[in-house]
Amino acid sequence: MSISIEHVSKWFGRFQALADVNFDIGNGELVALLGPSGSGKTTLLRIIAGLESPDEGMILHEGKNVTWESARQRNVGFVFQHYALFRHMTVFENVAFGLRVRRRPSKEIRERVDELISLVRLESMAYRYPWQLSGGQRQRVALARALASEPRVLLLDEPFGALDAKVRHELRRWLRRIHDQTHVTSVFVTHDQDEAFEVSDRVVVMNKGRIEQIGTPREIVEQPANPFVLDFVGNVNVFPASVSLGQAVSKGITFRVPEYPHAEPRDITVYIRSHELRIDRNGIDEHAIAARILRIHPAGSVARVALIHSATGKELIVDLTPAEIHELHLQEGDDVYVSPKRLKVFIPDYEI
Amino acid sequence: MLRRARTALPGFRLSLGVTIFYLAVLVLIPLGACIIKAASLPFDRFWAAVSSDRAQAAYIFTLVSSFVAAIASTLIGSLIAWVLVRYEFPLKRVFDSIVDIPFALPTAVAGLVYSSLYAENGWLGQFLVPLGIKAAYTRLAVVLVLTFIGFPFVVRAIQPVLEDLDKDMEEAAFMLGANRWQIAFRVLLPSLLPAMMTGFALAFARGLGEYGSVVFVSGNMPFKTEIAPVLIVSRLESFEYAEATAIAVVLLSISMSMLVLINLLERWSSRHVG
Repeated sequence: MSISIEHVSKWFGRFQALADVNFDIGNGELVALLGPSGSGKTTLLRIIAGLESPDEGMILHEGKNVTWESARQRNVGFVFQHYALFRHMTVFENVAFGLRVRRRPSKEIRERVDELISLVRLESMAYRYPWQLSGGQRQRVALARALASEPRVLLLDEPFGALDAKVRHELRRWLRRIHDQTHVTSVFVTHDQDEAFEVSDRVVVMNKGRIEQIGTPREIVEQPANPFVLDFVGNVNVFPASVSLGQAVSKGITFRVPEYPHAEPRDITVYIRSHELRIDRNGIDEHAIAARILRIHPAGSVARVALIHSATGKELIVDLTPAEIHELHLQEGDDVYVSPKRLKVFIPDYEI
Repeated sequence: MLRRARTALPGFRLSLGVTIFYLAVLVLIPLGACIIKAASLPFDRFWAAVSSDRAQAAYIFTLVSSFVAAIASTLIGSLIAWVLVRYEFPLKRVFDSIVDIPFALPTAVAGLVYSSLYAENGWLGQFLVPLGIKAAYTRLAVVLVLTFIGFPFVVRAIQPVLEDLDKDMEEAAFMLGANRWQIAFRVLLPSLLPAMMTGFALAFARGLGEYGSVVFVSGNMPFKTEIAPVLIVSRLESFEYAEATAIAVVLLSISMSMLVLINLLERWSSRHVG
């Protein structure tokens, strides 16, 4: 089912949690709401669910205004960060709850619940209580429970936030598979950009109650709309600089900015992603930044190198592959040269 | 022998010693003395003392009135706990402390106040008695005053559990399409049941032992409104000490078995809530 969010605003006292939020979610889409804490993403999810009502604006389901309909009428499944399972019920009864309160015949309930329990691969746990399950198992029960009454929309509030890293990764892929099987329109909230990019079709980046950018994971990574998105979705080195005649100067570090050939100087910020910097033993040109390696820490398929600019003490972060580190024989304490492969500047009132 | 286990908390032996000493002096020795005194009676006199019609009537009245009062306390106490935890209103703190008054008030005062309020010429009694509601010197009076004394136990047993209860769980039920009644009876009530049973057990045990207030409100009519503790006192007044302790032993064993039973029930229900 398609969902439209139109001009939604919400205040908590004087704090504006959402400011005129607009976007559409297509039928069968899996959308991530991504943002730092306090960005309004959970509030927006709760408004879509009907757990909160907006102060302004409306929520449409397939063009029909449901802003004032209860959760029951909307038929929305909701998965909570801390599972919110019923502690006094077995896995089976938890999953059956939504059907029991709708007074479905017991034969139908049994079949549907068995089907869902096998979908989440918890057949052997059906008669256990929640406290006998691990975190990952509990979250799977919560998901089965939310899907039981065949909701037309599935909403997940930081569904993997309380789980440890390995289980989190498993469940992400698994959520994607479940979505591809059921095709239920889904929205999930996360503050973890990897999670948003790995699982979703589209990502809505939020900040301070506003939408900063909407796009596919690839669009957001490759064409961030503004400094906030760029900073939030990747590890970025930030250089406040002054630009004129195609050169930006930031405390003795010079970058080439051919996009700004004018003579009139302007204050700008230069952003360079950590994987868009390179390290060389020798300076490749006069703009290479002389720096000393502080720390090298391996993080799986990339190794993160922290350096310090020798002249100013500014810290730089560069991501290399372990092979590159090996090739260059990089060691902590080495003096090297850093240069940008690619950089991005946002010049106020000036489109590049 | 106790081997010195490595533990971060010091003073295990000292605190265990104090605990045992305390239990012995305050609980075990008096109870033991009571049983020994009762055992000094030959069996036929013991049996006569504990099984007289008057004694039987007193046991039953004590049990029934405490039970009814404990149920009333559980209902009223749960409601009060709910209101105190879930809603914000002016003077909430004041109401919260008023709940403790029955803990602190000498129960004789409660008994006096109740009996004078509900007596035929009392403030409330003058309206209620003509309507046929006699809430002084009757069985109703006993239940009323025991409820007054019992409900704070229920409130204090439920309050912390209710405060801890996940708001998420209610929201989850709501999202799954449950209406308010279904949320209350299928989600909240089962989660609160162990705490309610604890409160019930405390209120019930308190009712069994209550003396001070009941003496004033019940009228102490043998076979009608005489509770077992009052019967014990009346035996003492006629210098039948052994008979008095015999009844006390019966009362003691009734309370003990009730508590064991309720403990088992509590354990069973908390196993199912986790």
